[in-house]
Amino acid sequence: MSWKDRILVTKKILAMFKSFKFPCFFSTLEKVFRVGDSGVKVYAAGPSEAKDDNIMGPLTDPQAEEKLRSLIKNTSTLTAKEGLLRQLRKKLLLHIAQEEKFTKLMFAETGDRLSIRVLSNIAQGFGASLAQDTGFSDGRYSEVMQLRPMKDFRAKEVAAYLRFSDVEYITLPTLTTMAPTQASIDRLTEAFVLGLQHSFPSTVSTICRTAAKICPAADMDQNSQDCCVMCEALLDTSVTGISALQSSNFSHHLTEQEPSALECMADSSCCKNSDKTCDSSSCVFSANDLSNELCYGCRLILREIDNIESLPVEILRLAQRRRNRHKMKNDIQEYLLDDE
Amino acid sequence: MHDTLTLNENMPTKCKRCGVNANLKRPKTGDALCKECFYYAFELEVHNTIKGTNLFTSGETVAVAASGGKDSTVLAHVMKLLNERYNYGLTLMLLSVDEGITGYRDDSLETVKRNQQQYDLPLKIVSYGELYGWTMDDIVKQIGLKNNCTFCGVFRRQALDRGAALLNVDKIVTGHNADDIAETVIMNILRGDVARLQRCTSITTGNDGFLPRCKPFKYTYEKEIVMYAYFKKLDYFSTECIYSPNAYRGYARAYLKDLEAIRSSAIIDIIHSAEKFEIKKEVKMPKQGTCTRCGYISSCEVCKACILLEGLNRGLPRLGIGKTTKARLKKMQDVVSQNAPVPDKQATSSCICAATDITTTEPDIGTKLNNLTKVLDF
Repeated sequence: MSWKDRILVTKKILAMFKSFKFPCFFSTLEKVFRVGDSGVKVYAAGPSEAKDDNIMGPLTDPQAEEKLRSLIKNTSTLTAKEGLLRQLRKKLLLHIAQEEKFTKLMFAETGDRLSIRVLSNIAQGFGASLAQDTGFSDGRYSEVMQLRPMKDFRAKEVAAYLRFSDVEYITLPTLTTMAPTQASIDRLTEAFVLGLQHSFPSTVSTICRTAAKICPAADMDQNSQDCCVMCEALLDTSVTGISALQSSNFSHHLTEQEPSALECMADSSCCKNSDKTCDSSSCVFSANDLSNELCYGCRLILREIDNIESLPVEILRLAQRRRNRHKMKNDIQEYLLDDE
Repeated sequence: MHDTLTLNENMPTKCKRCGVNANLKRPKTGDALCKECFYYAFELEVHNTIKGTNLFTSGETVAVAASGGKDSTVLAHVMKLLNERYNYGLTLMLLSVDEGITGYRDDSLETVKRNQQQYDLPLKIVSYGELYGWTMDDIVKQIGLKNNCTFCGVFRRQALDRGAALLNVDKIVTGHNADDIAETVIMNILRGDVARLQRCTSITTGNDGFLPRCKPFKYTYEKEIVMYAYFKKLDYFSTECIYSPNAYRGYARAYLKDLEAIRSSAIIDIIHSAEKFEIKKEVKMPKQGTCTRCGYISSCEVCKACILLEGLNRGLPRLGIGKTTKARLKKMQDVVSQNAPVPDKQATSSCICAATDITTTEPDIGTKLNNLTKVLDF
């Protein structure tokens, strides 16, 4: 969408929200690249006058917009693009929630949407965080609790309710609107679940009920501090014993020649961190290093990104800090008394 | 990871591992490989799975569940090969089940008999007709084409166990591959079957009380099994069961195939997801006990096979099919455990097993077992 179109849409949405009389905040997705940049305002408060044509003024940021476009362009498949956008959007929302000191963040996902998410997440390797991604509450971020109060409602019920209450709503196109079913995993799953629901009316509710009975496997250390830098889920990538991951790595290893060309992040800004142990050798940060700080599902997304430097700097910085901490821990492992 | 390779006619693609001209592109990793390197990778991966999970101990007797299809044919071939190459120390034999489906099963059994000669392994065939008194043809005539897979699946599992017990084996190996497991995960989520969801990613199931069944092909793609059989020119039978088109599993399978087309690693990703979650402890799971009629493992008083059989014998073919409320289930159990007299001709229709206190009027267990052993080929 062009900048003008975006302004129009935002104005329309803000006008709708005026009727709710809540304080309103809004931002643009490319601002996720500015998270962590000190002094840059990442979001704006809703205007009292919806007639103001320049409501998006403070958020204009062509550089960030260009970065977002290039990141999406650098991602090869639609599945990975959708996954990436989802993670970035969540990151931005959580950042704003933290800044404004909100303790809870509610999402409007209905039962239909969540049942599609269940299958789609399983297909993309996000099984370990299934309970958090699709359950009622998600406590990954200690400061902001994510909630899904509409998870037991069906899309049709919601539509009927809006109709009877005379409430307006708008629909915006996404990356896969009008796309063929094979365009991406999300789109395929949507067609599958809704098609099955048509012939077997209990499909959506059964999927949601089943997902509610699932929790992460016991062998994942719940107290571990290791989280994915993209989605903040517990890392599910320890390779001990035979597992799908081990078998996958084994297969690739069997026919590997040289590891593929590594991306180096020669950005010297990492030395400016307060992390005083940083020395020149650990400044070289490769795609492999980033991959180690991601969960299985996010790793699959990373594989489709050509150049890791197109990711938001904050993510890369976080990954680097974590990697350095692991190195530190390894160095002093034998002297540590507690398993922290 | 980019899976696409451009094949230039002037410059054939080279095998990634050894550099000679490549014959194929591996479905699992997308690498171009020559035949020999593919065999190497395929066989080594299965060996890695077997060794890593300590699937077998030396000296065990293992029955290979053989249906004549691609999975079991390749399984027999690879098990024999690895057993010799890496000295697993196993005694192998083939076990096959005849469901009594004319046209389909007869042909596949011929394939199994050929396999037996090719691999020089002893073979045992058990049939539904002898075990239960009903062939699948008879069952379908009675109940039609919906839910017949339920009957066949339940009966087959018991048939394999009984056959294996007769052969005195320690373990059964089946040819379930990665696609099957991924499909089962999806199906159990769609069905809400948490008990099965918990168990389906274990590489060995059935440890408590009955013969363990292993799946060495747990991480092997179906496409790679076909590719292996194709290049090695292994003989197998490849038609769909004639009674299967309406099975619910077909939906899960179609979804999986579409997923694989979008992202080839989706199959392993699903298995990874399923390995990383489990059922919450508070969820009530069916307890595993034994059937009061025949002693087979069961989560209810009377096992599913007994219920289904009783239904068939009394002309109540829908007994045991579909969801049951607690009240109906209790009624069903009562019906079966009352042991009402069975209609005349069906004297051989109850489960045969080692239990000695079945109070029906069919020939005693000893005679039945003797009759069965006459079917043995070795």
